[in-house]
Amino acid sequence: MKIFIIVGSIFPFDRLIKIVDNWAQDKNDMTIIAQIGKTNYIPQNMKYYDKLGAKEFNECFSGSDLIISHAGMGVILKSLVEQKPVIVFPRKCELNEVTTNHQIATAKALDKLNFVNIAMDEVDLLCYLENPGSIISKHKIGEFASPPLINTLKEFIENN
Amino acid sequence: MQKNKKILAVASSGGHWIQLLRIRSAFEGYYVTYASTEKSNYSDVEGHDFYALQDANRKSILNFFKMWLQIFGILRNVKPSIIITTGSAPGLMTLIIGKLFSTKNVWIDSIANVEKLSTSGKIARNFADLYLTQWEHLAKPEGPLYKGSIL
Repeated sequence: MKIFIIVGSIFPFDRLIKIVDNWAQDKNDMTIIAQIGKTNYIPQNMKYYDKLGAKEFNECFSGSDLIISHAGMGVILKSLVEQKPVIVFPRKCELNEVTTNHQIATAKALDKLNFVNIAMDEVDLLCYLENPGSIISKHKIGEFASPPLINTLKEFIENN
Repeated sequence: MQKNKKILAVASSGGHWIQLLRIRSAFEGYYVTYASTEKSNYSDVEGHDFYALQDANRKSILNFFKMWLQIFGILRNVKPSIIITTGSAPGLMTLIIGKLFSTKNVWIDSIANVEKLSTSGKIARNFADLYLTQWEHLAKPEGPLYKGSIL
């Protein structure tokens, strides 16, 4: 099974990387790739990059069976379009992982819509990872935004 | 005649950029130039004009100044009549500088802002001709308006 961990390319998110890195110690059947940002933490049980170019990123993404990600909308949207099973693990402001708690809010909103699998903490995440093969994609969206937004924009462009 | 209308679509790399790509279908038939903070994003919009911008946040005044100059240059070269952004600091800067060139501006606040508008989004109110949030509960009659989301 191939897992791709994504925490953006700017701020590190060592808490998430460490949890999965520890979990992966005895998982020889897992191939794990991570984009970890600029950090001093060196993962032992996965292949990692500070930052992947768009092409390499897309290749890793498409080739994976499971995505584990911070609550960044880019990854979440890509997962929904490609129908990739994804576990979303939000960054927390009080742990200095991000400057506001918007990731928690995003995660809660998406949980309410039942679009993705949300893990709010380590316990939740390890619970999902007990049986990673059973994690499914919960929702699919099309390539483009919903018609009301597109039509609003088309109208604005036409009239201006 | 419409075909001559030029659109400049701007967003920083990552989530904002992915949201921008999801509204591309609204630009069909127009001449679109894209700008983002990551060179390799060009691969998403091959065939269109693309500018890589200096990334900037509130912590770096120098980078902010570089970005300002870059955006000014792009606007002078491209001469768009419409600027569209899905948020981020570069998006906001482009709308602000765009007003010096009398552009018509669209601000779509990122879907990641569920509880309140982004800081950039609050400022954008003064520079946007179409001012949108992607969450119905954040909409107000005086703006931002809710007209659907990129989902």
